[in-house]
Amino acid sequence: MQALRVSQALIRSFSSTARNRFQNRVREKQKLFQEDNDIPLYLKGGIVDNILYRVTMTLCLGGTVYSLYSLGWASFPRN
Amino acid sequence: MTHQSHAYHMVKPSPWPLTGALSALLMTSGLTMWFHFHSMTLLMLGLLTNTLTMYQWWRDVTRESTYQGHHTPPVQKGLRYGMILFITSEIFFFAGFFWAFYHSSLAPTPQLGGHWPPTGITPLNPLEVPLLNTSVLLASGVSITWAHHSLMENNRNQMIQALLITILLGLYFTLLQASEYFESPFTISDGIYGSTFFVATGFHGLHVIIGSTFLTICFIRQLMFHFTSKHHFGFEAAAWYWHFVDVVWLFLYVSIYWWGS
Repeated sequence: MQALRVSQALIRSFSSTARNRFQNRVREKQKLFQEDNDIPLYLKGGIVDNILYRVTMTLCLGGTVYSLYSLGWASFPRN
Repeated sequence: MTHQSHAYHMVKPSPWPLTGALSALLMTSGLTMWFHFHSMTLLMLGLLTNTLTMYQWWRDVTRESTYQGHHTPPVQKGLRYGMILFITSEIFFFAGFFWAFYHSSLAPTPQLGGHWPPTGITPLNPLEVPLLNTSVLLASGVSITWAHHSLMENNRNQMIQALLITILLGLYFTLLQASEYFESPFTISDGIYGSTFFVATGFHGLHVIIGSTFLTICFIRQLMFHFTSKHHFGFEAAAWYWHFVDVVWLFLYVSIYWWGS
């Protein structure tokens, strides 16, 4: 009797119906990214897209300047 | 408003090719600064911007396909050709390292003692961890096939389970190989044996990590309902790559671990 109750509890905790934390939100995403608003794809997802883009571009351009500076620094011998 | 009268995907302008190219500059100049001047700043900056570029570029591909519907059958066919050509180029990449191994091991020089393995090298026992690694990757090839069939049969939970098993096996291989590297009695600087061993197995290990990452992305996309039973090319591309990684290991095991011991 105990074994049956334990196995039932286990089935309840690990059954697929208990794990339906993920809903199908593809329709909503399709609507968002097909909206006719002239926002480019890489920014169309919202504010996080903007932040990520700006951080990436800043690091790339800043890093490029720094690499050119490093090249200049490395080009002259020091004791 | 004009609409296209063909099924092909004319991609919109994107900043990621530029940031990708700049990240390559930062990584290479970063390596130089690290090798010669012990500074890791540029290299870290390069790795970070490279990761950011890959994340956003491939995120946009998902948006173009799953959310905007641009991956029509002709477009998918092109992507299939592309993945096949890429994997072919990787085969040639590994062919070079196998060439180097066979060049040195088929005719061992007097400096090595005239035999292979060279004098002073105690090779790893191919019937211990390397054999386990072989079985792990072969099993992962089975589980990924199970995942694919589950996906095609619309069996969501089985697909998730099987893909998870595949990823865990990949992780297990990586951990086992890392411990082998740590425990190994020889190093990369132990002559041509060490060089061929660690460069070939090292690049393979990197590809296992790349493949595992690709599979993990597919796992997340499957959880988010991106794949249908008929349209799931991202998963197929990951599966092809994974089988390629498995086959390279089999060649490594037979050539370097078994014949080479």
